[in-house]
Amino acid sequence: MEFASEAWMRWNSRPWAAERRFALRLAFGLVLVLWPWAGGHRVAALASEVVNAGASLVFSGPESLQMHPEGPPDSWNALLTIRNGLGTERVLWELRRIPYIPTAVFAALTLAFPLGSRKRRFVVLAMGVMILQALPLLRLILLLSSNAPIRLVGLPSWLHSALVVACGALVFPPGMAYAVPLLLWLLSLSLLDRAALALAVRSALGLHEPGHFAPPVSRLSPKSRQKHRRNSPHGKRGRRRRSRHKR
Amino acid sequence: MSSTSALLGRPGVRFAVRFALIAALLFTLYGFPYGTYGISEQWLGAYLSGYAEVVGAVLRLVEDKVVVQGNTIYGAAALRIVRTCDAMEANVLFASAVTAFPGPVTRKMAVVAGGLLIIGVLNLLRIATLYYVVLEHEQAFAFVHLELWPLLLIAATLCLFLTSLRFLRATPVPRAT
Repeated sequence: MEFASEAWMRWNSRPWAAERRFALRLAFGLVLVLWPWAGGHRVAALASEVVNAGASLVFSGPESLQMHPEGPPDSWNALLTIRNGLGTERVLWELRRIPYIPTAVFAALTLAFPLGSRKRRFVVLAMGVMILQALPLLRLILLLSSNAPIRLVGLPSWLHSALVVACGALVFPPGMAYAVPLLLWLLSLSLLDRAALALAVRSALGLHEPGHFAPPVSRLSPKSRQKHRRNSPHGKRGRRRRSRHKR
Repeated sequence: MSSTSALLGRPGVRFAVRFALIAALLFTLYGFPYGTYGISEQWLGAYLSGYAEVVGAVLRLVEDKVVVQGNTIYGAAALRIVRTCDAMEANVLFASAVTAFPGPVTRKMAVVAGGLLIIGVLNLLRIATLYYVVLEHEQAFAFVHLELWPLLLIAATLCLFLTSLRFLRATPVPRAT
């Protein structure tokens, strides 16, 4: 109990403001993106266009794959129609859990974390979103290769088994819908901004000087640097804060 | 070759590679499409039935009409425990991360055992709350089941891992002779 109250007091102290800001931004971002907003139909329509365009390039003749939005306007469902010479198979795909949630969680993490420059943040975001949008392809291939006799993609059994495992570990909800974006975010940070990741890890482990969670001033964009100077103890606001404190 | 070994020599990279390999192995063992009537599927069926029995026992503390048959729990509502209901993703990620982290093996084993126990308890709580969500707010079931609880479980696993790292990193106190 004492440990908890001590941790709470430390968390509320000023030097931990950067960590607190990250946690609050992340919580706000997660609530915002995970709120059950209506508008799934638009996502389903967009996904259908992409899948149909891709499928028209890959399949021809009696073989075809089509996707179209299904259900009421607030529904995130899309119906996949798979056809070959032998018949037709219809599969319902819930687009909110795959791929919306992983992408949204990744975006919330990236936007909440103080990466220093907008360019770096954009690169991380673009890279992650591309990978997370490509992961459902694994599920699609699995679907097209396993629905015998309506099978459009023939895979050797070992590859099919590997695909089942990969889908279970990377694509299928529920747990991995959150774990995969988290791991991907850590990976992209480690590739693009190892210093920031190291500081975050040290912060989480309680091994750093408080307040160092934010990136070093030299890595900040000119605008953020200006803001940092204003807020620092020697800056305009800092001086004002100190004089108020003295009074 | 030397650049690869230099890269693998970095503690962060070594941890990431170990973590990925262990997690891949555990996910393969769990998610491999074994034959439908093989021993592995029988084992998995027995494991899920056992899980359902434990959940049923927890639910019986507050509701005595709960009956478990196979992997299905019957009461005022019915719940079926299937492959992903056992929070195995969280278990695999936690066990892989702790095992991949450098530290004494005995300490890591203790941390893994303790962590899996805590995740197991959280998962029992999850299933028990889902039972009441089905009863009281059925329309919220999909959201709570597939979106809210998985987020809480993964967040709890991450917190658990970060907390256990402090224990793993702590220097053992020498015993007085």
